[in-house]
Amino acid sequence: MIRHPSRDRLCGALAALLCLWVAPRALADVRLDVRTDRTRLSLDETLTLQINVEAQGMGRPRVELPTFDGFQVVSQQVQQPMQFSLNFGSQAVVQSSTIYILGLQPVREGTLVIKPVRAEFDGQVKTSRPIEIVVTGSGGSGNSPGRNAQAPQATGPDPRGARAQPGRRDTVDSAEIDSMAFLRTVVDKAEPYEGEQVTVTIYLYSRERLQAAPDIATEPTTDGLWTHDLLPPNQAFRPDRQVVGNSVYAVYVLRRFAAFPLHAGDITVGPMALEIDTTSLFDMFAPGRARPNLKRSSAPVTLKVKPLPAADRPPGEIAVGRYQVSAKLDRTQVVTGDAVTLTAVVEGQGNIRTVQLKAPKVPGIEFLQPDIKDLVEAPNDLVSGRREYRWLLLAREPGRLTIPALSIATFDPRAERYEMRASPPLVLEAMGQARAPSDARVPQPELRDAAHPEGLERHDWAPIRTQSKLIRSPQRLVETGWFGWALAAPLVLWLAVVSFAGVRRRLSARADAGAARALRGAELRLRAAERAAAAGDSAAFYAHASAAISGILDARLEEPVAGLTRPQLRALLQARGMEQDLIDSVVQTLQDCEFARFGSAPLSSSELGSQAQALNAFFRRLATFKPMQPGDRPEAA
Amino acid sequence: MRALAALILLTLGLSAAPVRAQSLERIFSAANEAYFRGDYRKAADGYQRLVEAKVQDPDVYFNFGLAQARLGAFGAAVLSFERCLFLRAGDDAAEGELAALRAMLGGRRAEREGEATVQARPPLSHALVRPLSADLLAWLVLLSNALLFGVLLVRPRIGAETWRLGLAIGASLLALLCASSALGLALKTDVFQDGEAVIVLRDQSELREGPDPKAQVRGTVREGDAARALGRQGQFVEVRSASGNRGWIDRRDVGFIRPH
Repeated sequence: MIRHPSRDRLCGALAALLCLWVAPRALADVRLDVRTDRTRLSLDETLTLQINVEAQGMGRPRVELPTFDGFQVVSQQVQQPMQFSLNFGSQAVVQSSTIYILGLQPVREGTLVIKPVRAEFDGQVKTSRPIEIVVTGSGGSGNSPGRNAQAPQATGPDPRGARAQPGRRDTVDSAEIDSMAFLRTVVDKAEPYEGEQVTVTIYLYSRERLQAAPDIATEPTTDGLWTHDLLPPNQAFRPDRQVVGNSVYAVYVLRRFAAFPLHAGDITVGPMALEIDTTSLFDMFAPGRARPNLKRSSAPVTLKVKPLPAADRPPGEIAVGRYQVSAKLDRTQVVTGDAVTLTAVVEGQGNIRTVQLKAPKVPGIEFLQPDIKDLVEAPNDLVSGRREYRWLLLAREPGRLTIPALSIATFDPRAERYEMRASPPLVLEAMGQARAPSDARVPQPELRDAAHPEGLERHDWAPIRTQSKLIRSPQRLVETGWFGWALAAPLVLWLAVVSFAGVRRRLSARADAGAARALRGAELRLRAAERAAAAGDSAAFYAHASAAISGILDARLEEPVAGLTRPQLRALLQARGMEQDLIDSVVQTLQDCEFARFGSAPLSSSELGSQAQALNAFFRRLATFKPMQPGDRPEAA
Repeated sequence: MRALAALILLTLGLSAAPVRAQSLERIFSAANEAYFRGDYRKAADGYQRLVEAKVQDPDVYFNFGLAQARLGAFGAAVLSFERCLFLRAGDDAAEGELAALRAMLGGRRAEREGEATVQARPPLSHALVRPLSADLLAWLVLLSNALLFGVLLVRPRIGAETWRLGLAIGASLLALLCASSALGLALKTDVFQDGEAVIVLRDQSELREGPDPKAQVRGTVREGDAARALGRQGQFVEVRSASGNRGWIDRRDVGFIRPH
């Protein structure tokens, strides 16, 4: 392929020129704003007409001023500030503004019309709306805008002048002029009726275009007012331009809301306070220049709310506004006992949320609690809406049932008169036998089942009980006073028995222990006697033998016998059940031991040994003796 | 003369009791008739009068619960059925209606919030003792306790090993029966729980930081929920809900299961 360098360069240049020519056209935009400072004046007064034309793009817009029929132009001013915007990374954008300020004096009375202004720029044409001006006779209109002493001095038109409504009452305008920035509060009605909409707008006037929205330190208080915001949620922070005195201000709308006074009397819209960031791009070129942020607050505005007129006032609640009422049934024929839906709608201008519609009382029809849905709008900054009521009706009786008109009493603040708004009456035909109350009276939860089949199940309630003992103040067994005692008694009894048996065993063991000790002692004596016999010691043998016999008797009888005389011992042994020959043997042996111990000649070892064996045998015989219990024996002599 | 006056007064006093009883029966009958006619409001009022006259009868509470359920007062109906079961455990009809009420309440919440616990399972221990009355368990404890110690007393005096072995086994079983009955009775009488059982009567009742209508709201409890009342102060009751939330609630928004 053959390339031609020169042709390529020519194409590139043409393309660049085309871009330069197309891009501004793509960015071209024109805005037109026309406003007056008032809409009512007298023949000897002058109104100020301000025309703002802003264009973005190369060149200047062309503005066609209309002929001012009925007016005489007494002054004219034209300002044409220009502004360049440099956006890094893209090309420069030029903004130009043309501001016409005309002083117009009416030449006749009546309603005069300022015809539309036409602005043309780069193929775009913008036209303003016509503005109606009411001119009254000389001597003062009596309807000059309500201003306080600090209001802007005549040259600042009402920013809402372009959308002013004919026949509107005087506005309230409050501002403290400042050379740098100030807040202005405008209320479109100074003396509204209770419940009538007033529109409150708060403007920020700034000599410099702000880079960002200011920080709101304090929102205006609205005690006694029901408010509805009129600004869209994501409104762009773009200013209008307005001349106040000889200065051009950038005007920002900070707040606009509809307010409905809730009671008569003085109601104040409190001040708003904010802080404006004054840093700018050019501060980088003057680092030593310190500019504090600006703090401004608006002046409070007081409304004088009038009560609704007493004359011809209908009884009950009054809905302030302009409303219509409609109603319909989802069906006009129903089986007796079934449900139908009555839908009533109240719609119109005003604070729809305060509208109350009550269900009528109709014999044979039961009205259940309604569902209420609201839809609130604000086209052209006038709050309006729709409130829908949905009642579920039960036809309890057969026949032709008439639902009377649903009505509300309204007050039109514009016409200043009361009106009754009502829907037409409705007819419902219920057919079939009236059902038993228990069948017809469907509980609400089950009715909701009908509306929501995926919800609750129908439940067949159990029958009631026709018999009852009508017990009064029953007391549980566990709460009676004797329950605790009855529970503890077996335990206490068992513990008592076990303890008693334990004590008896201990006592018995102690007694056994004494007897065992005595028996051991006796056996020791026996061993000693045997040792003495082996050693050939007669005296010792007989002494130990006597002690052994006494010891074994002590062990068996469990009482000492050493101090008893022979007759006493004999009597004791008899009383304890000892056999007579054994008693004689015991007594005789003890005597022989004493005699042999103190009086007889010593025996030989062999003789002592045989004596020891006889003693041992006698000892064993006594050890097997089981005496009778002491309680069983007669008193010893 | 004085004797005659005393006799007259005595006669009047003796006759007052049956007259009052007849009045209660008349109120009960009238309330039932109103229920049959479909006038549930009047029926509920009649049962309420009986309750205010200190009638604590499970059948009255059963009918009361039905009337309240018909009127849509599900929380109050739950309370009435719980009282019926408190006075007569194991009442199958009351259990059934209570289960249906809780299902309805759960369905309401599901419609409103998207999901709800229709029926929370009670602990196994409570489920085991629920059909048994407190009196039955008390009698079981008394009898098994007495028999147990009787066996313990007799056994040491029995010589035959077979009998001794049998008595030992019997004593073990009796001890087990006594212990389980005592445990069931303790569960039944809420020995292991603090406070008193209550039922929330109003849906989304506020739980507040303190016993003050201006105190900050901590949370809410729902109609029909069970809770424990931990204390009272003025018009408020401190409760702990089943989910553990604790706070002060208006006394009119809860009902004590145990009739006072």
